[in-house]
Formats: sequence, structure tokens, C-alpha cells
Amino acid sequence: MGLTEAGYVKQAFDDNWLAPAGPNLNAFEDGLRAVSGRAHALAVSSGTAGLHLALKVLDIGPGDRVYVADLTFVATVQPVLYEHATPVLIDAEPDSWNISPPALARALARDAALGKLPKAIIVVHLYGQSADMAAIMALSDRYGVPVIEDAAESIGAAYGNRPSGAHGLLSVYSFNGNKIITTSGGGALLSDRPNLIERAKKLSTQGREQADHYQHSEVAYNYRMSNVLAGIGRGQLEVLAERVAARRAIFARYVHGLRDLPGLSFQRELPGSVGNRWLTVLSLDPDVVPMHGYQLMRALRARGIETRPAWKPMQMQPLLLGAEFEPHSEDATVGPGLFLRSLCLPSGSAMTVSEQDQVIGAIRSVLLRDTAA
Amino acid sequence: MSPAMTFGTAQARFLCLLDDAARRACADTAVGVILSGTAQDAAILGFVSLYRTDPVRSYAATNNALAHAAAVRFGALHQTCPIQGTDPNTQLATFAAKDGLTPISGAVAGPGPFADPAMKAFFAALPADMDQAQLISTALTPLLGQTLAHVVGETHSDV
Repeated sequence: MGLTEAGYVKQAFDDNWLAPAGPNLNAFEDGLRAVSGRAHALAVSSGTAGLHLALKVLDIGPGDRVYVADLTFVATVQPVLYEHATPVLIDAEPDSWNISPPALARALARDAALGKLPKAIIVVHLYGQSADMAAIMALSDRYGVPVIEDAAESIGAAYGNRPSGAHGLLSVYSFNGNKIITTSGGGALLSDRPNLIERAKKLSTQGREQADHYQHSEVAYNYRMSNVLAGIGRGQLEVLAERVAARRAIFARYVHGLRDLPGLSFQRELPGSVGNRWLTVLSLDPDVVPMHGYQLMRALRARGIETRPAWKPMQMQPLLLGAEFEPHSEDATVGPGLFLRSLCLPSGSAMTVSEQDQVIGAIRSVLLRDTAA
Repeated sequence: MSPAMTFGTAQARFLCLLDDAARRACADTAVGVILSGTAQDAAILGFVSLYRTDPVRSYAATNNALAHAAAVRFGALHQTCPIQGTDPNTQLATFAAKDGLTPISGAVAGPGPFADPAMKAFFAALPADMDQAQLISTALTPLLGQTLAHVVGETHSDV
């Protein structure tokens, strides 16, 4: 956080605009439209709320099938469960670790033949790296199934000439405290369709209808972002480009600092895409590195360095045990293997070169000692 | 109607069941993992290790290099035990019990996740022409590496 953010927040206090309406909110949404290239933006209380609203405006309800990227944070799938819809989990592909186009193609072909196509496909850009949107959008168009883009982790990234947040029918950003830019907690729903965002806006404000009094005729939500938090977001948008540059530099330093250690690799960037490298994720080849990633994680923790396992696939969560799942190929699943051998490294934009050198040194020390032993 | 069980689907389902059974096995019980050198035993140690912040205790016969490699891989507190005669797993379980731990292993007969009813039902429902040893080996390779995952012990199709 910087003085710019503090200034916008102070302005909200000075003007007494503390409600979920006001100049900061309007300006923040203008900024989101500029960043995404979308015609319409709605700032809400979280990325999860944004996804929930996306499902609501598409009238997704009990029994409807929704394809969801399997390798993701649980927030991607929770709104599907809120609506008692049926998540169909689509495996990752091994390059970008995002939703597998071959798996998606197989599932769509099968479900089309059975007359049970999903009502939406939720695509995630994992750790800020773009999914194969050309292949995914081609399938979406072919089968007439809309894409909801979960860009919670990928603001500032791009695929081709489109920013992350501009793909598919609806897109969602997250501004949770751990994200590349934050409003401490918050999110946004974006689309080029005004009717969808208008409908979402109504649903995000308790479904209030046009009248001087408080008139309500449907179940709705308290999901709108406050003008105070939007002030933080306004300031954060101004530093987005430098945050992305910082994260990409952090990724490059990890790659350089660990390049000579055998058995290590990183999530790849698909051709034509530029990720924001929200988190740098290290993958350990189990045939080369004798130590499991969790052991590396615990050894680093003992040195005061916090790392985390990669997202655990949704199909492996007790919450979704037995959910329908489409593997990357008929012969192999990919997502569980990525989870079982990968580790998220410290990647905060404010991390100094010296701090990162300590992390790199610690990883080298642990792995080289273990290999020598 | 669920789609047909392909090899890829079976790999994923197997890992889900194994993870879930291992999670339940160590949720409220201090366990000691019996390592005979099979991929299944090593996988039990691996999955239990994911859920424990403290090192898991493991037990193996002396000179069992694969068991030692598994223990190193998952940072186990590993104990080698003198084994005489047949039925080493029973003898190793005795060592774990002496340490106040509930012994578990990757044996089909148990005790442990491979004897879990859901796991038995999964293997029973697999297509007859699906090679269970290959399924176990390939599914466990990301966790164990090929050397450990290659040595598959008795499978449900063997019993």
C-alpha cells in the first residue's frame, strides 16, 4: 500500500462516501474497464461473489452441469455448489497447468451426444499464467457453451492481444489480500453485455427494485464493494504494471538462481501469452530429486521461509470426492501429479533481491545437501 | 450416466481414494507405516506424510534399500528391524505396536488404506483388462518417482 491508496481512502472519509456507492467505486470500475478492455465492470466483495453472480446471471441452478478447471483454488467451484449445480471437473494440461483442451473436447463431444451439455465452462488462469484460450474459445463457440473466465489470479496477464479478464462471456477478478493488487478483500465481474452486469448489480445489492421505498421480490446478496475499499483499488490499479513487472522479475531470478539444479522446472508460459507470474511455482522431478516437495517445504519453514504446496485438485478434495472428472488423456491424468510434486515459492512484489537470494540459497542448500546425503 | 472408466480416470480415482483413506487412517490415530519395499507401502507413507507436520515413523527389515529410499523421500523416522522367518509384515507391525503406534501398510489384506472398503470396491469395478499393477505404478510415479513406483506388490487382482 502507498500514499496514493491512502489518499483515495482519505477522500472517501472526507467526503463521507462510506457506502457501496461513490466516486472511488465509479473510478475503480472505470479503471477495471480500461485494464480488461471490457465494456462493463462491477466491483464486488470478493472474486467468489463475482463467480457466484456470473452463475446467477446465466440462470445456472440445481442439476445444471458446469465444467470447472480441476486444478484450482476451491473458490472456483464453491459457487457451483451454492447453486446446487453439478460440477464436472476437467483435468489440467501439462504445459500451462490450466484446463486441458483435449479433455474439454472429449467431455463436450460426449455430453453433446448425450444431450447434456453444460451451461458454462469456468476457465482459470492458474497462478497468473494464461490457459489456452484459442482452443478453449473454439470449443465454446462450436458447442455454444459460454465461458466464464476466472481471472482471480491473472489480472495484468494477456493471451494474444486480449488482457486476462476479456475472454469469454463473463470474467472475474479477485482483489483478496494475497493477490497481485488488492482491496484487502474484493473482486469484480466483467462483461461486454450490459444486461448481464445490470442484472448482477441488482443481485449484488439485495435485489432492490426501482422505487423510493425498499422493494424486493427475489433472493439476492450483499456483494457490492464499498467506496472505501474501492479507493484502495483505485490506487492499486495505478501500480499494476509495475507489480506485474516485479513478479515477472522474481520468476526470472528464481529460474536463473536454480537453473543448474537437476530435476527442477517451472510452470510454462504458452506461446503468445504473457503471464503475471502471481506466484512462481517450482516442480520437482521425483526421479531426480530424492526429497518430496513437502520435505523441502518443511526444511525451508525451519529456516523461516514460507512456501506452500500447489493447489490440490478439486477431485482430490473430500468436498468433491466422486465428482465426475475428465482426465487430460484417456491414458493419463495430469493435475494430481502437478499437485504431488510442486511448491509455490515466496513471490510477493515487495520481496527484495536480497530476500530472494536468501530463498534461493536455502533451496539450493537443502536440495544439494539432500542429494549429497 | 458417468463416462466409461478410462485408464486416466482410473488413475485419478485411485489417487483420490488412496489420499482420502490415508487421511482418515491418520486423522485420530498415531500410525507407524510398515515398509516392505513396495510402491503401495511407500505411497501410504507418502500420503500420511502430507497430513502430518511431525515426521511419520516407518519400519522395515534391515537392508531394504527401497524402504530406506521411501523413508528418506518423506523424511520419516525410520527404524530397521531384525526379521526372522516368514511373515515380515506381522513382525514389523509388532515393532510399531511396541512404540504405541497403529501399524498400517499398503498390503491388500491390510491393515491400511488398500483394505478400505471403498478401495476394494474401486478395484473390483475396474475393467477386467485394465492392468492393476500398471495403474498403481503410473498413478504413484509423481509421488514416488519411477524407481519406487515400479515395484508394485500384490494387487487386488492377485487375491
